[in-house]
Amino acid sequence: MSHSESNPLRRELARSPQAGPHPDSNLLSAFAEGALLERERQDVVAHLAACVDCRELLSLATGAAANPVAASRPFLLPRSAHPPLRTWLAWASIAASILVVCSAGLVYKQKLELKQRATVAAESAPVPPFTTIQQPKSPPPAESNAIIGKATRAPGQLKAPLRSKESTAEATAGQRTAVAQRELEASQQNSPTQSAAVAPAIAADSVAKAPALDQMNSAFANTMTARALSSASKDAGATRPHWRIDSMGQAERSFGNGAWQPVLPNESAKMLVISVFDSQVWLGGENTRLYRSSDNGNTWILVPLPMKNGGEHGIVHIRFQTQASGVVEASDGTSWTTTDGGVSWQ
Amino acid sequence: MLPASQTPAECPLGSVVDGAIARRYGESGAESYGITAEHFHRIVAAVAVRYAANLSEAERVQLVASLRVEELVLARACAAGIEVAWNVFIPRFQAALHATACHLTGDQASGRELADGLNADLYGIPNSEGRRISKLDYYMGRGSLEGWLRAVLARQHIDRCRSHANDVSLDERIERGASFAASPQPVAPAINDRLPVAIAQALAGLSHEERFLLASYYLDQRTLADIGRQTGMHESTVSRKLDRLTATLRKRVRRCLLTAGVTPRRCDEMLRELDVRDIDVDVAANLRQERSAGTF
Repeated sequence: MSHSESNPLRRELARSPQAGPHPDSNLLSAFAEGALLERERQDVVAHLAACVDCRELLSLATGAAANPVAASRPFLLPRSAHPPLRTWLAWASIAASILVVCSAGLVYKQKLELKQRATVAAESAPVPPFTTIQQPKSPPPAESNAIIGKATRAPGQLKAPLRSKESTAEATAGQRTAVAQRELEASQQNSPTQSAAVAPAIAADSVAKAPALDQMNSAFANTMTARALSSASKDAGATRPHWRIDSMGQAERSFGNGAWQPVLPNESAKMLVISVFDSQVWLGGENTRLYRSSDNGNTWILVPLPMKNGGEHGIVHIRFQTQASGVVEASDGTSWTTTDGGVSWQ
Repeated sequence: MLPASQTPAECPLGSVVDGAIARRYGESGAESYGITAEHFHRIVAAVAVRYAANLSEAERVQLVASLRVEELVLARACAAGIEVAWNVFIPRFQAALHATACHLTGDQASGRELADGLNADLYGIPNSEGRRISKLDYYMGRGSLEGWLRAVLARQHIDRCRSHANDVSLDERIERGASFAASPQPVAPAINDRLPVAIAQALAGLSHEERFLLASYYLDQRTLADIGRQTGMHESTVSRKLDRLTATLRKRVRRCLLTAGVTPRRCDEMLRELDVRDIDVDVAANLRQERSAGTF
């Protein structure tokens, strides 16, 4: 085979420097097997870079090692062209890949199961968006408190992820959700009898799943807690009303039949928060509107709040520690407290 | 019994190296061939003296530790004509020898002929003094005995090819109808004088290993798998290295040209001629270049 060297780079490459003495067969075979000391290897490589003869010899020798006839006999097997570590690494990488895929599948399956549980529970005991919390009529728990966030209009969309998404979109609603979560936890701590006695199965399930829930968003955890309380109230009485605030700021009530009715149809101010404590239902909204109902929302009383910091405020937080003492907060931080069940405010 | 001439006289390797050699006696299986510890020491010391002349003591110990002493004593025992050793050698390496020879020559008959020739050399041919000289005496235990046998076979195959090429006269070949095309004249490209200088500078900056890769792939037309087998790398690694090398080389040549005052546009024009992949090379001429040096 004869070719022309018309390429200047190849010409320069072929114009090798002085190659020096040829390495013997011992060194060449040891080089191919990676058995040389580093210094010797450098010398052999330097020679090979400049010597076509030795490159040809090396190629013939290693090529013969790779021929299948020789490889078919166990004792004729040439030493592996690659170090044993590489073979080990190849198997290890395959095993690691399988492990990763299996782990991902398990995690996905676990999440799917949790999601399905949440969906099934939400469908069996529908919880409106932003957790309307119901309290049992009799016997009333010792201490319970909840704040309900702003709701969306779509009544059919009750799934936790949707609520979570929307709450993210609306900052104020998200804050209320977080407050509700904290207060629900406090409520559970303050009334262990309620959560353990009224809804033992679901509450226990929620507690058992706590590590897994840590990985999910707070809205989902909130839903799980609300589901426990919702289920508890369902057990205690079938006529517990559900509460929500739609996107227009209207407070609505439902008795679990899917129909939602506005409870204050003539109120033009937007409602921002609902709080249920024992038999008392509190509604807070724009223009410093604060309503109270003692009969599950059949009748409402407008509770006047003393003027503070000038102008009107939007009530966004309602927290009662006992039936008599509670705090109402506006979005700008203005707060009112009562120690007599809302008769007087300071 | 090994002939005394096979072992060197005094070899000042140091006590540490001597200790390292002594530690390898047990694993060599030399006893089964009747080789004593003293003889074993001489055999290994001869190898160490041959290859470790310029090495530090630590490197000598490393060298001794890397030797394939079991195959080394087998080779020395065979060379000494010990029957037990041949009984081990023949079933272990004979078939491999024939398979390698057949692979090299491409047919069974030539392969057998090549392998038989080497077998005779391995057994030993009496010299003028009547003493048998075996080729196995030249095995030093650096790599595997099988690898060494392959290398020796490959070398003999090349020698046979070259000698046979000279057996047939030009007249005979012409009578048989062979025709000889005029060797193509290298096309003298109209290139800037500064280009070869820049290329030489860029190539001078390459390491030996990089140069070996470039030469194997672009000059010798070896496949990636071939180069991978020779260097112990996977062929995809060789491919990546070659890609990086060519890219680096072009950058270096361009930089050299720019430094020499060539305009960037002219640089690009000249570099278009430098694609080593699309132009062939006179391999035979390169083979002829390196045929003068002796062995070390």
